Amino acid sequence: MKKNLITTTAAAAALGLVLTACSGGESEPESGAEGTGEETGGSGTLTISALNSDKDALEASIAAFSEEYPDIEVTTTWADVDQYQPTLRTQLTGGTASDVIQIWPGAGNSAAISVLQPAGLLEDLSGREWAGDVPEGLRPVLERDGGLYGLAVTVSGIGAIFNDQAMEEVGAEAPTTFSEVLELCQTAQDAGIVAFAHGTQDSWVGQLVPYSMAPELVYAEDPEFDSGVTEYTAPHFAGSAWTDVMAQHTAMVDAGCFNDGVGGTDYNTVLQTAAAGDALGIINGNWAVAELGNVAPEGTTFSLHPVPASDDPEATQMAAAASGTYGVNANAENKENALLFFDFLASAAGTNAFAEINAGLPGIPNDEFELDPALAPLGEYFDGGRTYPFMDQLWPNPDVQTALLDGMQGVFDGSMTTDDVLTGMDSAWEQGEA
Amino acid sequence: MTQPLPASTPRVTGDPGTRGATGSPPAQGPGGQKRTRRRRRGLTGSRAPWWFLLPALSIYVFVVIVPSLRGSVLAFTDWNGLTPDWNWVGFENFARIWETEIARDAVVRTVVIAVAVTVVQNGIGLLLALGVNTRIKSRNLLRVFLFAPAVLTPLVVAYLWRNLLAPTGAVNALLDAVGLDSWQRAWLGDSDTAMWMIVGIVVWQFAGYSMVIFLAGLQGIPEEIYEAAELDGARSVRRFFSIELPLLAPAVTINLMLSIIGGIKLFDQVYATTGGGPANSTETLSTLIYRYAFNSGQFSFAIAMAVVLTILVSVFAFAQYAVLRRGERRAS
Repeated sequence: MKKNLITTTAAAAALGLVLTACSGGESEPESGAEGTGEETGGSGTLTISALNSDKDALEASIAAFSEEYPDIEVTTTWADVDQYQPTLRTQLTGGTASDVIQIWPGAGNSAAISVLQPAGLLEDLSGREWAGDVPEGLRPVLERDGGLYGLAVTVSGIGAIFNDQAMEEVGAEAPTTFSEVLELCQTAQDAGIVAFAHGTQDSWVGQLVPYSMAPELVYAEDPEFDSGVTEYTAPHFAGSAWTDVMAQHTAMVDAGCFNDGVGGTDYNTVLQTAAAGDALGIINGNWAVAELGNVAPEGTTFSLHPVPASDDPEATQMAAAASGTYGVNANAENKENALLFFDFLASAAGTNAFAEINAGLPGIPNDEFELDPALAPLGEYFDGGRTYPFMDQLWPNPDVQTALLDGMQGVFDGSMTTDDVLTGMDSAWEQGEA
Repeated sequence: MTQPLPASTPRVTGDPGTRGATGSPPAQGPGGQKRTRRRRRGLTGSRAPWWFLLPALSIYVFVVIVPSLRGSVLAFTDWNGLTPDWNWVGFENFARIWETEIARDAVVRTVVIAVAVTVVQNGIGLLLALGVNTRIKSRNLLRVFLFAPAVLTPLVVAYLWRNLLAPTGAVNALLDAVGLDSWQRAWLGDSDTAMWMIVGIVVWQFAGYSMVIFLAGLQGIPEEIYEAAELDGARSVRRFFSIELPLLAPAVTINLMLSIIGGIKLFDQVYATTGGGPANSTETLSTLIYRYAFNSGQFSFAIAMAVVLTILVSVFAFAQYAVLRRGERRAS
């Protein structure tokens, strides 16, 4: 039996208002300017809500947009991811969400395209001029039912980010094979430090080491390992090539590649350890390059490299996927202005302003962009087709990723084995699509 | 915070109008009881007509009762928090709580944490209250210091301890300095210790709060009783068990009620220190509700857990209240 949720939606709207207040953003404009965009050449208002981590980059794009459309007043709301996701869901159901919203590609979390689109909450962008320029590699996580529901402004990658000065001090170079990774760990130990600072107290960090090796060990052989299935049955991860990923992970732990107390170490400590040269580097996303630079002594430089998962250098792959992804609220009060903003954001001027600050590759490539030399391998691997999306973006529901994150914490505190982790992921996998 | 009044004083044991000159209840036959009831009704009517309650009651019903009941209905559906439609699923979500290991563990863990916090916090709070109720010179300063953590927000305290208990934090550094380096560990990153660290953090913050309530109770005990006990030769242990503890019964009731309810609802300290990890080993009902509602998008399942949490709080609170009130009456 189906029931209408009018009262619940009203309650959700009220909750949304409270959460909006808590998120510390600016107040909503009093009136909108529905349909005024193209008809008036761009005037009225536009509301945008996004993550604090994208604030600097998106503000650069907004500044450039405002120069082109000075009559559109842009109001922004920023929040951390833990507050943003629940707030966004509440606002979308209550009809109080911003015109432009930050969303996630694929189905990996509760604010991802595959979760929001079936509820009719996202505007189809496939009719925009730039839609045809979206790279094929990003389409599976941005499209659904033939429509395009997000714009990935940048592409991010996961790899080993080395402190160049620390590497020089121990006389090491970035490894090109897995054996060299283990040798690097020994070299670091001989120097009284560790190869990789690591900490899973902030649970999201736990996925990064497996993600850095799974493209080579799992998805190079079978790109449709996850996306090609029609029925979500178990075992899917247990007994698959994912056991090789976990075996390499265990080998790194046993080789002393990571610091003691991984389970109780938070992300900030990880950054500080690598920035200070007490570790040769970290395994993380390219976004961490800028964060490391913020806490490192002056003159310290960092560079991103792939993490080889086998002894064949030619087989090495990287995890690289859409990040900085935005969508248009299907019930946006200022939808025309939102679409104007998207057209600008997809242009070279809008994308490059964002990508230069966020240290990522442009989601829609253009010739005007100059990649930070520290991220050169990411550009080479992406252009060479040697990347695979972050795995969770193609998993059917958020619980698969949660099982991996919980499991990696368990592995580091000894309460779980890697087989337990894969079994847990299978249990979530069996739940099927969110 | 209202100071609890000792149950033995005339102020709290009954209507002064019904008491004899000595404070003992007057002898009453059937007629006397009727007169008393009439008089009570008359007094009540003259003090506050029942309809004075209506404005506050209306707001309470509209803001708390109705939304709670309407929200609880969603526990019997498969609503995902986004779509406007739902399907009735009966008790499926409640059954799933017991079938889902992580949820079942969270229920048990929530009760264990609540009981541990209640026992340790009040034990320490009582000892502190007895300590600062003496004539030592620094008692006022000590009271301020011991109560100070209670005025901080739980999040600030949680982040403070998160840093202190980090592998490179002050606790491990201290252990190293005193030669106990073999005891060093990732206190919040180890599933054997993380939950007890959270219990410790809560106790550290709120033991002073319990102390203040106990202290108020202790200071309400008439000096004459102590003097009489001294004349009778009662020493400190006997004085504590025969005088102070019975007369502290109202304070005990308040403290235990507050700490058991706070323990069952525990969220901030867990969320800020471990986020429910490592490997779900500190997940409580409250953090799991948040996780299922906002991370997994399983709203109806989360609501079912919230209903269980509400029932758990109510059962513990009412059962405890009934037992403690009986104890209070016996003591008075």
